Amino acid sequence: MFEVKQLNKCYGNKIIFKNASFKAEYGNIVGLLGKNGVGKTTFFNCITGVCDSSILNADEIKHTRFSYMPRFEQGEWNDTISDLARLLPVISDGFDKEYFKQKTDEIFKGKNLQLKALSTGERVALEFIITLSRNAQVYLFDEPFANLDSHYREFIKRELISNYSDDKLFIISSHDIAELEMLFSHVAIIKDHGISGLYDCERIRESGDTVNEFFMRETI
Amino acid sequence: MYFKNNRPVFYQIADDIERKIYGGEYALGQKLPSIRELGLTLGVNPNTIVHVYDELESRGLIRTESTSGKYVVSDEKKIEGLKRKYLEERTREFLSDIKEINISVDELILKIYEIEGK
Repeated sequence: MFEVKQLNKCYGNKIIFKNASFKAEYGNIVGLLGKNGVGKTTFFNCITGVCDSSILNADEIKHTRFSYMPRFEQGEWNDTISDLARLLPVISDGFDKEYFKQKTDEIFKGKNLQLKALSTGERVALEFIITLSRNAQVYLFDEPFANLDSHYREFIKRELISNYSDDKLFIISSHDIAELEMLFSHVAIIKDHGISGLYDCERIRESGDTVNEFFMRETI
Repeated sequence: MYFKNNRPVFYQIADDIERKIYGGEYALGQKLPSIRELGLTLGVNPNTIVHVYDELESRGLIRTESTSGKYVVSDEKKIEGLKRKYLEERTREFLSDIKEINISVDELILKIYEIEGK
């Protein structure tokens, strides 16, 4: 069970989270939903320590192994994909070199490109592959579909299913609810400075709603 | 496979496999895809596929071999019986809808022939 207890976070006078809690079993794919600006990215940043926050069980969370999908800024990166293949295992324990090689070969057709030569979509796909290559318990994907064409979206969905296992928790923030809802086992909604409990997607559909309709109603 | 987003997905997949078993696309005794394989093919969460197979098992259509996976049951009589029951139930459901709009059975049969081009 992965649990965040009483998260508090503000930016200056602006409250983002007030005693927000989150709880999910490993072996699930959880969609983290919320309107723009409610704090989905901030939630990821808080639990991974990228930004400061107050969390009741911070010590416990510190021992969780996270893999947080990185975001490379577009810039003058001279490094190539094979440079990454060499460097990443050094800084990340248990990095799956074979998986990284196999998937980057698949996406980039075996070409050893420089990072600055990648399109936005290719960069996102690379960031995604890095995330899954790491050995972690909780995997965090922040809008993994942003700027991706249908081929890459299919690739990402396929890899999420292939890499899913009982000892891993995937948390995916996304506005592409309709496209991802078949992958989600549950969704949680961020609103009013808090995080809802988990809703089982099949239960939602049982009541005759799509997950998207449910989200719209919950966030009016 | 096309999904309706407002009906539990595991029912939709289970119904689809049920029909494929009756139609012979899945043969008696045939091994079914693994949970992950089917999840990948259909693009759905593997947990959902676990429910699909539980549901099919409770309908008596498949069985679990503890070591090697899920199989369509091999008992031809049993499948044939379930298939007859399925036909009966679906036809009754359909008929009760049609009778509600005041269409006679004769008219309905003519319509079926017309649509089927006979």
